[in-house]
Amino acid sequence: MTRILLKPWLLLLGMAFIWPAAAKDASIKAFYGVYQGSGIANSKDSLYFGITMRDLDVTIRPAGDGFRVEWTTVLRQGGTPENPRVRRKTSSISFRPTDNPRRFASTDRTDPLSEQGLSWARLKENTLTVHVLVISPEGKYNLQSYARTISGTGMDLYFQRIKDGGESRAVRGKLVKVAK
Amino acid sequence: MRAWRTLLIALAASLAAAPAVGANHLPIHAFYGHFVGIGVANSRDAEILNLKKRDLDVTIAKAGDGFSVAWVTIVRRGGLEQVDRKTAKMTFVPTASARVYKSTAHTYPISDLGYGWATLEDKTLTVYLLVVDPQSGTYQLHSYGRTLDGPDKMHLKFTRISQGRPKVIVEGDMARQK
Repeated sequence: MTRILLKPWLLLLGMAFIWPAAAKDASIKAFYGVYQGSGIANSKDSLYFGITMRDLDVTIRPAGDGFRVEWTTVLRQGGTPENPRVRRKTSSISFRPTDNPRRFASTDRTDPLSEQGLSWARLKENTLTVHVLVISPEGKYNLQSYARTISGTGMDLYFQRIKDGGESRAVRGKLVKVAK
Repeated sequence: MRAWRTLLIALAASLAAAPAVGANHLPIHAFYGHFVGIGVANSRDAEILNLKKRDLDVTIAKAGDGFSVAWVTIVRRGGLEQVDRKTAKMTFVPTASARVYKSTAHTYPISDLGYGWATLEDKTLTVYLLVVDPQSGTYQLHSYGRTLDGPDKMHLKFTRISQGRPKVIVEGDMARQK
């Protein structure tokens, strides 16, 4: 009888070890550092012109009572293997905390009707996602999302761009942390 | 020779001043009026729940320097029983861009009201609403494209994108009420 009564308790005890704990959100400090890596772009154009490779650098640093994300993308598309056509683009956005610890508002991109657009960021588990909305002078939107997930060795990037009319582009990348 | 040069300068000036080919946008007042009709949702959930049909009702009117759009959507199960009724109103004012208007009340996306803007292109007036959930940070982007098909007919195409994925598309036709 004792053995029968013990079984449910043993089962519960076992479940406590097996059951995954509720995922906690990482602190923004966990993202601070310098990351380098590369990514592969995938879009409708990629079907015709081949998948494009790109080098990715990201630096996330504290700034004021928030943080700043700066990233550089070096894109090699077209040209010849000996002399590829190279484009380099650097962007940065600063964020401040809001009343919600998982949400951040941009301090320097606050108007979607401007060239810089409007940006916000959200933190969920190990992923920091930065969104940027730009509305063109014709009223067309361009919504970009950069989801950066930290891991033991570095960072995974998933970039998605949605444009008015359905055109979209996605980039998946892997980066290694090279400096704190 | 001088006459030719004058003619060329005049031609160049007239070309520069002329609107681009195809840029035949309707004025906003062409959309003013009350339109009523039926829409059909194209989504898996709507199909499973037998909630594809919607009654559509929209009123577009002048408001100050801009305009207002007020709409009612009634969802009917099987096209008969009313199960949901949504009303909304947005007022827009001009911006520096001739064909872009911004909402007077929906001015910040990370809020309950969200960020709204409208565009005018050819025969279509599109109202956009971006709402970012203040708690989770996830977003939804709604667009209501209303196209005039003649003076008294209007076609609606509503799309809702949620976190990068199109979720709901409703299309319908409305007639001007006199």
